[in-house]
Amino acid sequence: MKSKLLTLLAALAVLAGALAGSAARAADEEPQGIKVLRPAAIGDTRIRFVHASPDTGAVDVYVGNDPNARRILANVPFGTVSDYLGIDPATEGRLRVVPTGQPLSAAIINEDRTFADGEDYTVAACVSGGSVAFCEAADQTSAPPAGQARLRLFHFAPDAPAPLDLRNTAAPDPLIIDDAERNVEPTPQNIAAGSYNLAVTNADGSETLATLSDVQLQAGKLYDLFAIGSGATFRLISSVTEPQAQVRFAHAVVGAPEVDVYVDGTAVLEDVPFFAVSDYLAIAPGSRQVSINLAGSSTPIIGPEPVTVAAGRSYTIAARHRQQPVQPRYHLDAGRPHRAARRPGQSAALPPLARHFAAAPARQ
Amino acid sequence: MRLFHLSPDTSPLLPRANNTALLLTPVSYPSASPYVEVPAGTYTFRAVTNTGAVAFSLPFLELEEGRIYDVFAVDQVARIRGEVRITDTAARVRFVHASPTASDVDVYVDDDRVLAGVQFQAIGDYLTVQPGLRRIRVVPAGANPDAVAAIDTTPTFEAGTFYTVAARNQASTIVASVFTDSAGVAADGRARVRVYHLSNTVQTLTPAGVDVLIAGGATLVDNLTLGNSSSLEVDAGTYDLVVATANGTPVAPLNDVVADARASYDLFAIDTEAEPTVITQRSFGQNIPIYDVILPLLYR
Repeated sequence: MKSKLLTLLAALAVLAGALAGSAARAADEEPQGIKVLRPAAIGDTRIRFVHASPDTGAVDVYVGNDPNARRILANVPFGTVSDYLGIDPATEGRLRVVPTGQPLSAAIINEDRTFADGEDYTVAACVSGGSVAFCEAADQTSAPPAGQARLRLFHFAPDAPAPLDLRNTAAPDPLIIDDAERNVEPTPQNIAAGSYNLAVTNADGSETLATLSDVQLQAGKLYDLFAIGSGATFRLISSVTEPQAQVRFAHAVVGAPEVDVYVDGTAVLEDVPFFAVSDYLAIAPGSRQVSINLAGSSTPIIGPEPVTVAAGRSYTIAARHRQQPVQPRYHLDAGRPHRAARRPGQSAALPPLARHFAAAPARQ
Repeated sequence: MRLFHLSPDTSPLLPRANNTALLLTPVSYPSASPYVEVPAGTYTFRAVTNTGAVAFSLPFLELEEGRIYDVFAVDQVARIRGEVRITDTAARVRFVHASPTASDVDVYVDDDRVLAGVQFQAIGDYLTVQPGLRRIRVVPAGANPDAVAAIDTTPTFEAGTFYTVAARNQASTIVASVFTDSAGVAADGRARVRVYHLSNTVQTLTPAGVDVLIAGGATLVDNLTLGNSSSLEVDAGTYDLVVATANGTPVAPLNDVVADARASYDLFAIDTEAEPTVITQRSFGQNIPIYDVILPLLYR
C-alpha cells in the first residue's frame, strides 16, 4: 500500500514538472484589467482518441518526441471515445499508441502529424487489412444552422459492409447519411433537431447493423456516431460536443462593490459580489467585448476589452486590480501563529492578531 | 485540480497536497496553475508562500474521481482564504417508476443494468452517467433488454446537469418522460419545491393540469400539464400543501411538509390504478449545485 502511494506521488511530481514550464510562461504575459485565465496545460489545439481496434487490448497514448513524450491517456479500452485533450501543435505532433504499461518502443501506432493551431482532431486506432491502423479526421467547431444538429458517421468496423448508411426509419425518405466509407473521414450532415429512430445499414438498406430508438438530437450540438468492432464486438458508440465557448467570471477585486458583467454590450451577470465565481456560460466563439460595470451602472469600470474565446474550450475571466500592487506588499512570514478557524456565517472581522499583521510595515 | 492566485498582495503560492508539492514553480498573482491530476481521496490542501509559510489550508478536502477542483486564493494577504469550486464531468440521472400497471422493472443505460427490480412508485437516487447520447431501456425485471424493451429512448445528457427519467402511463402504453431538473441551490433561507406531472388520469380532465397550493394561501404552481415539471422556491419552513387538479379538485393534501433550507422537496403527481395520487421525496446534498460548494475555512 505504501509503495503504491509513493508511486502515485512520484507520478504526480513528474506530471507537475512537465507542467511547470508553461505556468511560468503564463505569468510573464500579463495584460491589465481583465485577465483571461486558461489552464496552460490545455493548448490551442486539441485531439481526442478513439479506440476502435477490437483485437487490441487497452492502450496508453503519448504525444511529443523523446525525451519529452507526454502520456495524455492511460489504459484506454476498446470502445472508448476520449475527451478532447490539449496539445502543443509545434512540438507534440508525434502520436504513439502503446499497449498499456509498455514502453514507447512497443508502439503499435507511431505517426508524426501536422496539427493546425487552434483546430480539433479525432485520431483513432482503427483496423485496416487485419491489423491496427491510424485514422484521423479534422473536427468542425462551427455551429450548425439554427434549430439543427450536425451528425457524422465514422465507419471503423473492419468486417461490416462498406459503405454504411445512416437512416431515419420513421421517415418516408429515410436516408440521412449516404455512403460512409470505411476508415475515411466522414462528411457531416445537418439535421433538424428532434427525435429520430436511427438505423445504421448497408448501402442499399437491406441489412440493418444497429439501431438507436428515440434519439433526441438537440439543436446546436455536434453528434458523432462510430460503428466499431466485428461480430460480437460490433457496436455503435457516440459523442456529443457543443461548438460554444464556456466562460465563467470571478470577481476578485478586493474591496470592490458588486459588479455587472457585459459581453458584447449585453449584461450576462448582474450583482456579482466579491468573491464570487459564476457558473460557466455558453458564449459564441470569437472575439467578444467584455466589460465590467458597478452593479446598476451603465459605465464600465473595466473594459470593454476584447477577449477571444474558442469553441469547446472553457475560460475563467477574473476581474482584478488594474494596478498591482494596489496595497502595500506584505509577505507571510514563516512561523505565523495558529489562529482559530472561521466557520461559515461567522463574522469576517479580523481577529486582533491579523490587524497587527496588517498594520505591520511592508517587507519588500 | 489547480490553483488560481487572485490575492494581489500575496507572494507566489505553491499548492501542496498532504505535504507533496503539486508544482515545481509557485503560482504568481494573477495567474492560474496548470491542471494537476490527483488520485481521488481526502487531502489536506495547503497554499505555501516563498518563505514556506502556509497562506491558507483546506483540511479534509475530499477529491472525488472525475471531478475538477479549482482552488481560488482570494482577498488580501491578511485575510487570504481558499475558495473551492467543483466542476462535474458527469451527468446525474434518476429514475421514477410511475406506471401503475407495469411490473417491477430493470433499467439499462447503454448495455449496463443500473437498476434491478424497481417497484411502482419508487423514486431512485441520482446515478452518475457519462454525458452524451445514452440509450435508456426499461424492461420487465429479469427480461433481456435486447428482446423486450418497454421503453427504449436515447436522450442527450450534459455534464453537470441533473435529469429525472420517469416511466409513466399504463403498462400497454408506457412512455418515458425525461426532465432536466433544476438543481441550483435555493437562496439563503429558501427551499426548492419541484413538481412533476405524470398522471394520465388528470390529463383526461378539463382543464388537464395540476395546481399546487399552500392550504388557504398562495398558488405555487398553476395548471402544470402532463409530462412537464416546475421548480420554485419557498421560504424554508413547515407547510400544509394541497395538490389539486386545475379545476379545483384536491388530489392529495400534504400536511406538515418540512421544506428545509438548501434542500429540495419533490412532488410527483402519478396514477395509481384507481385514481391520481402524489408521491413525494425530500432530498439533500445530491441537489446541491456543482459550482457552489464553499468549504469551511481554517486559518493556520
